[in-house]
Amino acid sequence: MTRTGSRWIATLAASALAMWAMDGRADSDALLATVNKPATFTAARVAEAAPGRRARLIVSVTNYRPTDDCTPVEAVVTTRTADGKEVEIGRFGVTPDRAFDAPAPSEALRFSFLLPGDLAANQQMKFSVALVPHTEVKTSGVACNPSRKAGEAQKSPAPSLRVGDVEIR
Amino acid sequence: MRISRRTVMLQGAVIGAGIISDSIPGMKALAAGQPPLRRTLQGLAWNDPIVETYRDAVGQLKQKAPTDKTSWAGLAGIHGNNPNAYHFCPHGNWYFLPWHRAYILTYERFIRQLMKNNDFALPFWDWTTNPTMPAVFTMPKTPDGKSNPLFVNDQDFGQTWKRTWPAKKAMPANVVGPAVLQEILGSADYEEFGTSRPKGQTNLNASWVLKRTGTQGTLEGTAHNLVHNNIGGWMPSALSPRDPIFFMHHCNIDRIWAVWNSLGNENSPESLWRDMTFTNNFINTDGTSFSPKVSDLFVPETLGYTYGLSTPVAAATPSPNLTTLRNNLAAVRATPAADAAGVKSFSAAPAGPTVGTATAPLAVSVKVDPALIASVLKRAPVPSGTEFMNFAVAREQRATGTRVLAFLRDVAVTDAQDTEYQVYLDSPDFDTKASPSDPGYVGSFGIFVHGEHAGHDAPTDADTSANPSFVLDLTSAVQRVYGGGQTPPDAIKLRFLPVVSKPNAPRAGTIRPGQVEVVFLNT
Repeated sequence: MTRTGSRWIATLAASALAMWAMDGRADSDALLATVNKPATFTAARVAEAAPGRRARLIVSVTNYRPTDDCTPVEAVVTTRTADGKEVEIGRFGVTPDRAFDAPAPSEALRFSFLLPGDLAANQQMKFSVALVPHTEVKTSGVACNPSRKAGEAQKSPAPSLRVGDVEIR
Repeated sequence: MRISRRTVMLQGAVIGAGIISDSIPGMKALAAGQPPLRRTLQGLAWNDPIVETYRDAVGQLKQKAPTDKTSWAGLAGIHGNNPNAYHFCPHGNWYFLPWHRAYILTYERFIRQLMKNNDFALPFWDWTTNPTMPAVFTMPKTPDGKSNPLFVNDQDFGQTWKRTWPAKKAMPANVVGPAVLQEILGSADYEEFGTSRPKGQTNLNASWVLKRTGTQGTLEGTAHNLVHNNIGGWMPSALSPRDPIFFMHHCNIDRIWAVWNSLGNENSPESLWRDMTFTNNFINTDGTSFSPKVSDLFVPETLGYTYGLSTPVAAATPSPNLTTLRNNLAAVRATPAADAAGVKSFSAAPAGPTVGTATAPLAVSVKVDPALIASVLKRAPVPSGTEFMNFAVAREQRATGTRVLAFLRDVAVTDAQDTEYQVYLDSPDFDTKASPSDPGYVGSFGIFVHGEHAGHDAPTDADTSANPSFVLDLTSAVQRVYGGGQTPPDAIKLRFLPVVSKPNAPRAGTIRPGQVEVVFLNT
């Protein structure tokens, strides 16, 4: 193989690697919810619901950052019906409302939501988790971040939440 | 436009709370000999003995040195080491409910001892029925000018701690509303209801109590967590018990567990749950350790308090209360606006040709006897969740005490197919952004139209009928708006607010009742 050919292959490989890395990051970012962007994911059924019970979505949360100024925030879980209509299937909060990082996936926080009856038979579905702050609430701005002093500027673009494993059962 | 019997069939579709039906909830008052009743905060005035006892106890506990383990700060230390770290308390696993039952019980026992009042029981904040924070917690000073220990304005850990949720803002209905409660109480088993076991638990080692890896259902993940977080101040932190409203919130969580059990749902049979002991987590009033096992905590009455849920009521024979109520209702329906024994009615009509619109709700004020409103306020409030309970228990509560209804006669509307008609009891804060979570919300109705016309024009032929009529139960709204110790008003003002009922509806219609009758029953 010529030197030019080797360079060509190396360039191709590097490009492929870069694209793979970008894809990987894109997938990873899809699971990150901020106030500007919901986390989106597809959950698959891992077990049939017991007789007489409706299926539930289980969402795990591996990382969470509260709002830096203590504004309360709600995580809203939605999906779409067959005709494209967005429906809320539930909402949750992380308590205490403090930064959380699961040391391992098995240590993630878990929340479950009953699926609407007309969706409960689906084998896999797409969902979103949006972070919705109560911006109308006036906060004192210091209680959620122990290192922040009164009057200091906000340090990070919190809040954020990262979705881990998801399943329907 | 007109409403014609031939071309238009109107069917009132009552969809709000507070509507007269045979399924209105309730529970029987406690029989003699039961432990102290934990009751709803609804209707308790700032100087009610229950509120007064709790407020004074909190004030005394706050006076103790923080290093004293029986002080306000010391007892909160059982829950959290500091604002960012829990101490003993479990969250996100199946010990969440029993541990907090023991924790609030610890406070209840301390308050009884401190105040020398063994009849005291913690009240609960029923946020489904009353989604705004109880006023006794949001006033910096009590009306007699004293500082209010139930109000939060603390300095600690180098910062100021204040609640940030507006005092008159309701908790969102998709966090605490009736549909959320219905989903909670519909949970099929304990681990769905009260959070599941921590992932991978294999033994009774105490370290499992602090694992947060169970799956939180709607009770913990939604209602519990978001009420904590939304209130702000201490409440979203691990030192949430530093806020006195913590105990009213958790008392309601504890009550919902009792309601779920009373519906016939059994706690987990798993020994990994039942046999876990919270060793040295709590303290008795004599300073010794209180170390209950989960299975010790199943029955409130054995712990010295009750929610009044377990009193059996015979279903076969109508009680005298129920018979009286039925007779009163029959009299009211048969002879509108006529007084009978046990029935007092008052009526008014809207002034002029005005109709209610989405931007200018119609107000109708009906002069009443304030003493009758006072009688309604004395009636035991009906907590949320009891609508799912034994019907005989529910109807007994419904039949007891003075109730107040509104009969809306000859209700003329437009654009009925696109409109939901909401009714509110007037309050100083009412505006056109009012929602069903507001304290003054009475109920809503829709009108099902078969035909092309509905409107305010008078009928023109003999075959046309009068406009439809509706009846709404004002009792709970009157208790919410006029309770809390204020002087009962001499008039009940109702607001009629049309809102669009479909996302793409061009506009909401209008409403104008021909007459409003306010009727007190069981007076």
